[in-house]
Amino acid sequence: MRRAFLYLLLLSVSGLLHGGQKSVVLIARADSKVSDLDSLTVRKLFMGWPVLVNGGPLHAIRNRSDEQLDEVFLQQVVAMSQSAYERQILTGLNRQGSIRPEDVTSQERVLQELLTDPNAVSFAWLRDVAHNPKIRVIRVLWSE
Amino acid sequence: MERVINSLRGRLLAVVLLINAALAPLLYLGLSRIVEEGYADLFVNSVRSYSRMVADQLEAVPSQDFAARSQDVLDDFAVSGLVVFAQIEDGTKRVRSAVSQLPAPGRGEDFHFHEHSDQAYYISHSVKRDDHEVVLRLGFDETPTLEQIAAAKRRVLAAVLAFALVSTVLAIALSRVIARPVVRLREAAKRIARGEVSTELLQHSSIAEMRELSHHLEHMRRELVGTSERLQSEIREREASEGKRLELERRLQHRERIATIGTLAGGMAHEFNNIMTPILLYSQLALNGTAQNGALASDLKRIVAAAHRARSLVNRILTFSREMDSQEARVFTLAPTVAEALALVRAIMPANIEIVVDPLEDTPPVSGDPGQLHQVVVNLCLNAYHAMRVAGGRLTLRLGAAEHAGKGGARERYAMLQVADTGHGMEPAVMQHIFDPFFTTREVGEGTGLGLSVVHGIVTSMGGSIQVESAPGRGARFTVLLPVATALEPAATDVA
Amino acid sequence: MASIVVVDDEADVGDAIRRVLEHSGFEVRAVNDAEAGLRAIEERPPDIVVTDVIMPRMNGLELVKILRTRFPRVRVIAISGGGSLGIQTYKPDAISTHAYLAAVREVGAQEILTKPFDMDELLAAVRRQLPN
Repeated sequence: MRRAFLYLLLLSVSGLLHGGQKSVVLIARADSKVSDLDSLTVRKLFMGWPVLVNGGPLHAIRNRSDEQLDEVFLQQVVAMSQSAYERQILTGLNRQGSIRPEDVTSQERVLQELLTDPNAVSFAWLRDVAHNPKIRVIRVLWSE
Repeated sequence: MERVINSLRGRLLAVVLLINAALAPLLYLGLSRIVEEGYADLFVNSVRSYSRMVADQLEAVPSQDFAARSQDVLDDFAVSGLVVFAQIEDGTKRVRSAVSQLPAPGRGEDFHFHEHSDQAYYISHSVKRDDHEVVLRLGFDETPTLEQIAAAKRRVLAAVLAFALVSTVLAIALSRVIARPVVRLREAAKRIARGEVSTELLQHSSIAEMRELSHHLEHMRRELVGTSERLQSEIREREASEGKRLELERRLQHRERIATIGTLAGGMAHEFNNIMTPILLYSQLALNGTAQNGALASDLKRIVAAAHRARSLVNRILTFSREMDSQEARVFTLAPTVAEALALVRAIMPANIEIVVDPLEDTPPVSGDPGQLHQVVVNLCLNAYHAMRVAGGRLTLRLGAAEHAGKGGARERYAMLQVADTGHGMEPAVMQHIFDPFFTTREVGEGTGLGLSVVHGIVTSMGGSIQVESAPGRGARFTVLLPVATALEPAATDVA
Repeated sequence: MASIVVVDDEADVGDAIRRVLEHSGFEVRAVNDAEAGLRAIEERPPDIVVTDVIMPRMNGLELVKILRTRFPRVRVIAISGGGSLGIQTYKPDAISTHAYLAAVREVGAQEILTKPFDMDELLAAVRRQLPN
């Protein structure tokens, strides 16, 4: 009974921390070499352009596990509509031999991919990754 | 009304109208959706790009000017394009464009076109300044796009309605094209049913199947008309042959009446001959015993002359009755005529010749003159009698029916008459000539030699044939075959 | 004096022939049927027999046939009435008449007269059959 009360208290505290504010954050493995990326570089990365950090190309993972997350990504990161983004990616693939960001539709898969590849970069709701010690938040992409 | 619905044209129209009624709204809704999504996508894409660009440019503005110029920068963005709201939030400090027409949004930003139904699309971006981040909020007017969408929808509606209208008109035209030949075929079929069988069923149509159908129907009609014409001509032929039969019957009755008259006249002539004989003889006798110059002699001469006239008249009557009897072929059976001839033959034959009639059954009817057949029988019997005159023997007479292949190869039926004797027979050399005129083996003065040639002539004229089988010392057998009369001519009853 | 037997079922005809022949000086016996004629001939064979052919019961042909076998010397003059024999007696028929004439000749009649004949024709036929 006492333990249940404690959990409730913790929940309400975390609610205070995150409940009012929704944030989308750029993430990588905890030991990733990536320290910070400006908004233009992030956009380039997710448009399929090669981005090198310490001589190694970054691996972009598009997290499509949540619809609103995807909309935030389109509006804030690439600043395009879904169809325009698809067109851009296809054009890049065909003309410049760019790398298409990997589409992953489940949160678990995104984390798994990130953990196996030190060069992988993705994004997620802050609340989903805030307490994960294996994941490092690089920067906030959008918050409300 | 029901008739219209059940007609071919009505059906076609109904189907097309139903399809239009069901498809047009679906088409409209589908096209509207595509149009809406297209415009929304275009709008969202452009406002996202624009606001991103604005945020990037704001980041590039030098720090020292930023606070002072931020109002002007926002105004610059706001006066160009669709931006109807622009604001920078730096902590609690807010800078808002003077040209902003909209109030500050209550919360957050839009991610979809026409969200929150406030006619504006709000986007907020974090703009990185030297040490902290400020938030750029932009609002874009959705009304022009909404108006464009509405206009596009109206155009879609117009297009769909036009499509429905055109397709209906085309359906009417097509149904007419399809139905017209069918209607014409129906009219033609009606006329044929009324008996105007020469009505053509061929219809000109641009539809290949219709042309083919009408072609087949026309072909069928011609076949049927041909068949019916053949049947009709057969009926006409039958009526004609029926008429012919009646005519034959009529002529037969006429002939029999004439024959009856002839027979009566002949019988009377015979009586007259008997009566005339004493008249002639007595008057001539009386004339002999009378003075040649006296009045009595003159009277008697007149009696003799009158008797002569009467004799010639009777002869003419006899000749007439004979002609009546024999001028046309009659249909008769052999037995009565042969029986008559046999009575004569029996009278002729001496006692040492036995006459055997091996049964005198009647034969199928033949066509010809019974008198001529009578002559045939008598002549054949006389021939047999001559062959057996010295040694005597047996004369066998047979009647019957036979069947053998005729000229055409088909089996034909014949009436058969056989006369056989047990006389001296003939050498093959003699047999070759027996039917020649004036050929005879008899002593001079015994016969004319015309008998068998006359028989041959009569049998041939009746369409029959005669054969002889003989060998020296073994008698002879004559076989006469006469073709059976056609069933069309009814067998004449013998004149009593 | 030649002797003649006349056979005719028609009494008028027979009598007329008898009268003509008697008038010409022949001895004549006239009878009305073939049997009577045959009896008269058997009784005293004549030189000539004048006979009708068509008669009831025994007809002339049969009579002539008998005469041919039993009295071959007797001459026969047949008188035809223009009719035929058999079933259809008295049916005049051209071919039957011819056949009949042929038959009478076959059985041995020397002369054939067709009724009605003239007195002269009868006498001529008789005279032709007499020996002298």
